[in-house]
Amino acid sequence: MKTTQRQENEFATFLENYKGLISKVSGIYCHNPEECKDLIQEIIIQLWRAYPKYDKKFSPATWTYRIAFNVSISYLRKRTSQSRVREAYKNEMEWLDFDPPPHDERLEKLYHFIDLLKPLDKAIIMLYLEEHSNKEIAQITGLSVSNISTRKLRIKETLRTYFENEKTH
Amino acid sequence: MEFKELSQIWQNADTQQDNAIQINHQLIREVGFRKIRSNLGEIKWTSVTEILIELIFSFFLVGFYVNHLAEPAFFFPAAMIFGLMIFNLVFESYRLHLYYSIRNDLPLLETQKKLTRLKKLEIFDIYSLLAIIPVFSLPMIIVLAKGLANWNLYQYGTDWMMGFFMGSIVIAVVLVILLRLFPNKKLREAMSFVESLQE
Repeated sequence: MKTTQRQENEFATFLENYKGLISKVSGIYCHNPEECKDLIQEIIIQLWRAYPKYDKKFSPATWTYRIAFNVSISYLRKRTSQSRVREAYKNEMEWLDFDPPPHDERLEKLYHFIDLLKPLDKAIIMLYLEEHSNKEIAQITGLSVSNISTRKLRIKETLRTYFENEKTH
Repeated sequence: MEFKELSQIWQNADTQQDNAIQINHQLIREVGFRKIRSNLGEIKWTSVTEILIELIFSFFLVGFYVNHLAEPAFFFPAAMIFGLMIFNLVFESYRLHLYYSIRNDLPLLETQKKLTRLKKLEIFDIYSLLAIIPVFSLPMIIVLAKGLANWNLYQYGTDWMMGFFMGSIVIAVVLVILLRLFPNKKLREAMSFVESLQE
């Protein structure tokens, strides 16, 4: 893969703009900071590989979400990130610092309950919390707009139940 | 807790998340991502290797076929193996096609469906061996013995062949039971992946 200096600079700017998004996506698919760091590395790698073929008909956010969610959902990343990536970089200097955000009990609870959802539902609820429209969520997930509405209601209900059950215990 | 409140908690985390990652862009360039290969590559290389071996073996089979057209005792086993080979070539080619069609920038559902299909093929591949072993091992031995060493196994009668065939079925049944009770790691991973994506 040959990249120009300009592409590398563009990618660096792009990454700075979307690193928060990447961090959030990784947060709902992994369970500890080390795993998150591995996943973030894998997402960045896949973004970098796909960057020269970026399809301009999608917004950068849609494109980034698709890649970040796909990499996170795919079980393939588990083995890749935990073995190959680590192996490939073990002699290299660390190029990524990841400090998990400060402890927030309510946020942690939310992450915990989101973690109990199915992989695709996790993506939908995160996009919903990020206040994306049904149309945008449909574009990222590939589901129909009406399907998104139905699923959102179901997920909200599930989360409500989790929080209520937690209160009563 | 109301959804509005959840949304608020989530939105407030934005700044913290932005600061969570510090990327050293200079090092990214130096490291060079081209070293990294997706672990899907395993599937690709297994399929490519199988296709190559099958193509080489099919040359041997075609030669054998032509030389034994008038001998049904050798012609039929060779035809059986040739059929299996064609099936496997199509199967592996489809796997490769699926592998190359998976891109991370596709909609999530599409990628999930493709990955699930790929994993289901992996499960099928493992289980199909259990049918292939008893059905095809005898014709394979007959063809290989004749083709490579000009050794006619029919000269020893057919009793041992029946015994061999029955024995292979027993082995396959035992393997199925063992695999169901104690699925190997590859199979377990494939199954749990398919299960996790089941909507």
